[in-house]
Amino acid sequence: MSDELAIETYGLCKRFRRKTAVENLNLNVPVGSVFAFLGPNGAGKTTTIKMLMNILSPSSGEGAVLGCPITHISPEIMAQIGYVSENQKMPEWMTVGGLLSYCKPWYPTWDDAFCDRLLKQFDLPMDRKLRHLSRGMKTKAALLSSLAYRPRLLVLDEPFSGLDPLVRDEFIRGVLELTEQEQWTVFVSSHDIDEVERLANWVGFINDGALTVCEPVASLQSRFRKIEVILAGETTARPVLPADCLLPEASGRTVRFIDGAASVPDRMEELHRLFPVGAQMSASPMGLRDIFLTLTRHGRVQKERGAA
Amino acid sequence: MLPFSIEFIVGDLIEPQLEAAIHRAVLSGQVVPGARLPGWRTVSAELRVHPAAVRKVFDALRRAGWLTGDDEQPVAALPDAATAERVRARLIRDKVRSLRSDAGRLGVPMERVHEMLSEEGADE
Repeated sequence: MSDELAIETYGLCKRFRRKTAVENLNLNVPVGSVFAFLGPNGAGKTTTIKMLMNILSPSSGEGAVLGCPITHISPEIMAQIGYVSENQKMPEWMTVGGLLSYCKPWYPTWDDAFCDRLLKQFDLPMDRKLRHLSRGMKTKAALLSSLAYRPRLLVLDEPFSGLDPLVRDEFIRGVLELTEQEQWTVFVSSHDIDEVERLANWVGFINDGALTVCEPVASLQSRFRKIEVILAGETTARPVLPADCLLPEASGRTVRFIDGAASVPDRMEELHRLFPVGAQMSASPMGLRDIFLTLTRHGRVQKERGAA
Repeated sequence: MLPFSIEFIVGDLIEPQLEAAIHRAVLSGQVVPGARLPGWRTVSAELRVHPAAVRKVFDALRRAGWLTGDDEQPVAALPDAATAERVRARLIRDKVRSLRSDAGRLGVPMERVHEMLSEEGADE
């Protein structure tokens, strides 16, 4: 197991009866990265995270978190991991102050000054019971109790679902407070990447339980371009595009598709040659959200073709 | 609040956009050479950008003479005249390229674009 990787898995699988929720997952999350783990609802994100946190046992395969096998995570390693999930069960009868006092003894690295700073930043009332907090406040309390011991690895499972923009903003700022320390890694799963688009520097896409992408955001973004071709004249003839040109569409004189190999040298010239003389071709960069949607739609198209 | 302006273009890489924003701020006088800039943590938190990206940009700016000081307390600087001129030209060239492309698509000859530029100048 590598010291450079905060999370690594090899051939990780999880099956529930006949349904395969996660299939042959090979995940590498470098230390120091903010890793966005993206996928549509039901893709296998939460199941993966639960295996990483030793809440679910893998059906096969193996993995390690902070160098420790996921099926044998020791309390010492657990004390270096912060975990916040959507719909996290909280001891509702406790006050915010009570929750923090309860958590503190479990974590040798608990930092009171940092905890106080986050409390002020999150504007959380110490004496209010968790059951009387709004959903956003409750999520902030869960994050606070996971940040106060300055974890080396923060795992967030759909943390932004149902949060208003202000709370999301405070949440991200809170996560960024971790960057004060040397070794830190954030693994965040989401089906909506807008909030962490600029923050994430690594990305993994999971679809139907299989990981389709695991690479630095910069390299992914350089691979994908939205291509628009305006043909010189009306024609119904369409060129045969390479397999890495995804989701082609045509209307009138306009042809659009997603190029999934844009970082290949002279790619634009290569594509231009496929179209009749006089065609104007333009390429625009794509954000993570668009790339994510493209890969998901492409996956569905492939599945439908396979089924037909 | 950050003393320079930036509107991120989704899909473009973060680092070159941040670098260009600081170039533009110094060249336009929005940030005066010698002025203190916020440290990497503040820039990262304000822009919701990965801190490593900010530090990488600070490093590149320092090497090219646009910053002095460390990542905690960077100070804006004006690089040598040749570098400043090269960057100034590059920032404008990007706009010219986009203008030329739009003019081509809309069928406006470059002579007409030149005329329009002169008319704009006369209006000021």
